[in-house]
Amino acid sequence: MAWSTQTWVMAFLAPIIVFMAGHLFLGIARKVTARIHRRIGPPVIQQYIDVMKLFGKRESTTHGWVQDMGALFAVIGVIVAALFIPIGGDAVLSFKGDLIVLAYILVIAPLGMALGTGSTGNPNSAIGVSRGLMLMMAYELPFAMVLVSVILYYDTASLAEIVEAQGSFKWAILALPFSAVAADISLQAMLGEKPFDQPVAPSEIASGPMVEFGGKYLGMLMVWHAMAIVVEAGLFVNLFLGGGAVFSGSGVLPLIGNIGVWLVLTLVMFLVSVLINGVFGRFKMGQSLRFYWGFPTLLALIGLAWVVLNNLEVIY
Amino acid sequence: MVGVFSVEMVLGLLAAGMFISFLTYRIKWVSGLAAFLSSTGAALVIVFMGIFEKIPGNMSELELFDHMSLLFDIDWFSYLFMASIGVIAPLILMYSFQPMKDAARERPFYGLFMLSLIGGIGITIARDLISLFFFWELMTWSALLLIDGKRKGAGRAFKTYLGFGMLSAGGILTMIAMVASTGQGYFFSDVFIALKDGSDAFRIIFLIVGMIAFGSKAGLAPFHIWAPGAYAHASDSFSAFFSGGLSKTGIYGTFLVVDVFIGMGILATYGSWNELTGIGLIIAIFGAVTALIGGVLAMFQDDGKKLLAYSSVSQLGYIFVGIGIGGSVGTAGALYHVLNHTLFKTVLFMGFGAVIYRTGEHRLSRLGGMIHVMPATFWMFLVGIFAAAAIPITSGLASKWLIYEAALEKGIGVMVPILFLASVSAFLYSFRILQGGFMGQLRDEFKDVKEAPLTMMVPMGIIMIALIVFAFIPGAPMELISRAMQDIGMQAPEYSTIELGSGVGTYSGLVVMISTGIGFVIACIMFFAGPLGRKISLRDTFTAGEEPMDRMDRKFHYSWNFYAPYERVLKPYFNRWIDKAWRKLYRGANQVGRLHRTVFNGDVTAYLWLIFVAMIIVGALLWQYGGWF
Amino acid sequence: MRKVADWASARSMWLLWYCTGCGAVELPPCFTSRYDMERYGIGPMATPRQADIFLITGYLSVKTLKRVVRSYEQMQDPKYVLGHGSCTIDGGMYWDSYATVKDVGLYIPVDIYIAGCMPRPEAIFHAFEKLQDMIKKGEAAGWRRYKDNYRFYRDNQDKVFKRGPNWALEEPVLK
Repeated sequence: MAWSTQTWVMAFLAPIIVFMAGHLFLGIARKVTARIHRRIGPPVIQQYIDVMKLFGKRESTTHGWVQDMGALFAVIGVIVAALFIPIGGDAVLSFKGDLIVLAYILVIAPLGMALGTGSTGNPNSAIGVSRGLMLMMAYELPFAMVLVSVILYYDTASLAEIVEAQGSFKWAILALPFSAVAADISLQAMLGEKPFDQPVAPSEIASGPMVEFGGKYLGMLMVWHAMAIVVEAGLFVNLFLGGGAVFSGSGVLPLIGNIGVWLVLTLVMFLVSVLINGVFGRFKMGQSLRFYWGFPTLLALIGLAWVVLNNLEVIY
Repeated sequence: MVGVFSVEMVLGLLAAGMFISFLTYRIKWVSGLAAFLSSTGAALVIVFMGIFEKIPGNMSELELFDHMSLLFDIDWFSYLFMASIGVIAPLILMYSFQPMKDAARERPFYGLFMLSLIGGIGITIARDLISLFFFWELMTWSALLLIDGKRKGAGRAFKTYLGFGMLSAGGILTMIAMVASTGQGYFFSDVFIALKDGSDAFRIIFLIVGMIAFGSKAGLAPFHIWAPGAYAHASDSFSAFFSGGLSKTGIYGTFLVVDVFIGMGILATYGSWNELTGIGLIIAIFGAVTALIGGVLAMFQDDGKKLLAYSSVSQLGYIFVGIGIGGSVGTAGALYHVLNHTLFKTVLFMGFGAVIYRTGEHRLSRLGGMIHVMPATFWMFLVGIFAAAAIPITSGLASKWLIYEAALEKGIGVMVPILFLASVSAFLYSFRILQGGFMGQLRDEFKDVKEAPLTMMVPMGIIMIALIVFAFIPGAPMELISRAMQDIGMQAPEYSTIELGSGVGTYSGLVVMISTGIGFVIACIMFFAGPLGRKISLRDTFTAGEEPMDRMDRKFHYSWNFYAPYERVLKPYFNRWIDKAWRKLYRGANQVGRLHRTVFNGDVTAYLWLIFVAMIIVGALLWQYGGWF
Repeated sequence: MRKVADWASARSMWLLWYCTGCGAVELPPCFTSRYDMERYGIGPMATPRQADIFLITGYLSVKTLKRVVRSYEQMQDPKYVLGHGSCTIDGGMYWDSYATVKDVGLYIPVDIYIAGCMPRPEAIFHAFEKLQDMIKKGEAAGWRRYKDNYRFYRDNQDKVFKRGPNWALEEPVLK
C-alpha cells in the first residue's frame, strides 16, 4: 500500500464523494417513498437543505463535551470506514485482511455515538442504543456467515482483491446467490430501514439516540447517517456486484466511470431497501432476533455450506 | 552462581516480601509497602531479564530428599507468562493501597496476595510436575482465602471454587500418577518421553485429564461456572489480579499439555485435514462455545463484577480457539490475546473497583452518571472497554484479528460467525456497564463522590497508555511472542513493527490510526463550522414537556433490565443448564458421601467397637505376615 | 452566510409534533398524501431539540401552557411559533372559560396567527408560505422578542402557573 499523491488526494476525496452521494441518495429515497404513498415528496436536494439549516442554527445545546465527542466519533468512524471501502475499485487504504478490520471499524461510529447519547441523561437515548446493539447482534450472525463465504470463495480477506476478482461482470451475486440474498436481508437492518428501524423509533422512544441532539450536533448525526448508508450499501456492492470496476485501464476517465457505476449500483441497493421500507411497519425487538436467527441464517448457512463443500478436496 | 537477573532472584524477592507481609499484617501500611516493594523489585528483575536476554537460564535443581529433586528453568515461552503475571502485580498492589487502608477488617491480604503471586510465577518456572503441582496449589488456596464473605452468594462462590480447585488438583495428580505408572520420572522431559512411547489411549486420556485440570482454571466451558462467582466475590483489588493474571496459568498449562508434552505433530496423527488437527478442532469448538456463553451471559448481569467475570470467560474462550487451531497464526493470536487480556481485564477491574470503592455500590442498577464525578476513571475504563471489544483504536483488535485469520486460513470458516457473535455480545455488555455505571443521570447520593485516589489512577493510566501505544505498533509484542513460539517449536507469522501478517492478509495498526487521524481532522472542520454549543445541565432533558416532579436521578436512568427482549428470547437456551447439571452432580456426590454415616454415626460406643475390631484385624494381619511374634 | 442559513431555514422547517388542542386534527391531513407537507421540506420531529416550528393547535388550557412553555424553552434558536386556530387569537370558542388562555401572545411570542375553527389545510399551507417569506426577509423574530422581553413573558407566565424545583431550564441568555 503506497502513500502516493493519488492516495492522499483520494483520502480527502473519498469522504467528500460519500458525503455528497449520501445526502443525494437520501433525498431520492424520500422522493421514492413519497411516490409509493402517492404523494409528491420533497425535492431531491432536500437533505442538503436540512443539513445546511441545522448547521445554520444560531445555537446548539449540548450536555457537555462527552456529547460533542459522541457526535465527533460518529463522523470519524464513518469517515474511516469510507477510507477503507473501495469506491469504484480503488480504495484509499486497503491492505490484505481488511474485511475483518472493516467489520470492526463499522462499529466505531455506533459505539462512539452511544457514548455521546449516554451523557445526555435521557433514558430514551440509552434505550435506542441498546436496541441498536441488540439489532446488531441479530443481523451479524447471517452477515458474518456471508462474509466468511465470500472470503473462502475468493480465498482472500482483502476487499480490494475481492472486487478485482469480480472484473468483467463475473459478479459474486451469480456465484453465491443464497449468500447475496442473506446479505441483502442483513443490509435492511444495517441501514436501519423498516421493518428494522427499532433504534430510531420516533414514536416509541422519541427518536432514540437523537433525542437530545439539536442544531449542529443533529447535523453531524445526519451526516453520519447519510455516509453510513453509502458505506454499507457500497459494501454490499463491493462484495456481490463487482464493486463498480467495470472500466479497466489507468487514468482519470475510467476511474470516474467506475466511481459512477459504483454510485449507481449503491443507489439501486439502497432503493431496494427503501421500497421495502415503504410498505412495512416495524418489528418488535424479540421478533427481529427470532427472524434473523431463522430464515436469513438458514440462507447464509446454505451459502456457506455450498462454498465449503466446493472448496474441499476431501469430503469428511 | 546465582546471577542478579535470574529466577532465583525473583522468587527470593517475592518470598521475602511475602514473609514480611504476613508477619506485619496488622500494621497495614508496612505490610502493603513490603509487598509493593518486593513485587516491584521482582518485576524489574523480570523486565531486565528479558532485556538482557538472560533467557534461557540455567536449569536449577533443588534437591529435596534422596531421590527427589525439583527443577526450575526459564525459557521465552515461560517468560511471556511470567512477565504478564509479574509486571501487573506491583500495579495492582499500588492500586490496592487505598481500599485496604480503609478496609474495616484486618486480614493478611498482602501476604495472601504475595503467596498467590509466588504460586503463579512458580508455575511458569517449574520444570517438573511435582513443583508445578506445589505452586499450583499455593496459588489456588491463597486465592480461595481472598474471597470475601460479605455479599450474598459469596458462600456458594467459595464452595464452587473449592470444588473446582480440587478438580484441578486431582487432575494434575492424575497426570503425575499416569506418568509414574509408565516407569518414567516426573520431570517434563520424562513426561514427554512417556507420552511419545505411550499408547494412543494413554495420550488421549492424558490430554483429557490435562484439559480438565488446566482448562477449568482458565474457565473453559463447561468447567467455567466457578469463575463468575469467584471473580465477583473476591476482594475488589484482588479480582484484577485473579482474572487478569492468575487465569493465565490455566492457559499456560493447556499449552504445556497440548504443545509441549504431546505436541501438535503427534495429535495430527489422530485425523487432520488442511493442516488442522481433529483434536485441535474439538478444543477450538469448546473455546468458541465458551466465548459465546460467556458473552451472552455477561449481557444479562446486573452486578458489574459478575459482568466483567463472564467477560473474562468469554475472552479466554478466544484463546482456546487459538490454541486449538494451532499453527503459527493461531498460536500467535492466542499468545497475543494472553498479553492483551492481561492488560485490559486488569484495567477494567481496577476501574470498576475504583467506582465500588468510592460509592460502595456494585450493582449497575444502583449506579449511574459516574462520568461526571470520576472522569479520569471513566476514560481509563473506556480504553479498557475499547480493547475488550476489539475496537481498532486500541491494541485489542490485533490478537482477535490473528485468531480470525487463523480460522479462515485453515478453512473452518464456520467458527468465525460464532466468534463474531461473541464479539458483538462484547459490544453489548460493554455498553451495559458503561451506560449503567458511568453515564446517564447522576444519583443524588453520589453527587459528592470524589475522583479515585492517585494510587489507583497511576496504575490504570500506565496500562491505558500501553494499550494505546500498542495500537500503533502491534508488532512490538510480536517480538516476545515469536521468541516464545520458537521455544515450543513453532515459527511466528511475519510481522514488522507496525504491521502483522498472516497467511491470508495483513493488518497495519499504523494505517488504522492514521486514517482515524484524518477522520478526526475532517470531523473537526465540520464541528467548528457551526456555532459553539451552549452547555445545559443533565436535568434539562426531553421529558415530553412534563416537569419531573420527583427523583429524576433515579427514574430517568436506564440501567435495570437491559436487553430484556433478548433475555426473554434467549433465557430458555442459556438458562444456565450447565450450572444446574453441576449442581445435580454435587447433590449426587453428597448423597453418596453421606453413606459413611451408616458406619460413623456419631455414637461413641460404635467408635469403641470399631477400634476394637480394627485392632483385632491388624493383630491378625501382623500374626500372618509380620513374623514378629 | 446569514442569508444562506435563512434560505435553508425557510426551505426546511421541522415541526414539533405536539398536538396541544383539538385543532391538531387538521395536521394529519396536512402531511398525508392529499395535501403533502413534505414537499415544502416540512416534517414532524419528535423532540423540541430537533424542531424549529411550534404549532399551538387550538385552545391552550392553563395546564398545557406550562408544558408548552417548557417545550418552547427547550427548542433552539431560531424558533417560530404559529398560532393555529381562533382560540389562540382571542379565546375563540372558549372565550368564557376559566381554564383556557385567551391570548397566547402574552406568554410566548407568536409569529403568525391563523384564524379559523379550525383552519383547513389550505389555510395552514398559506401560513407556511407566509412564514417562509418572513424568514427569508428576516422578519420572523419571535425568538428574539422572547429574549429581549423575557421579564414581560415571565411575569405573565408566573401569574398562571408555578415553576417547580425540577424545572432545570436556564433563563434565556440575552445576546
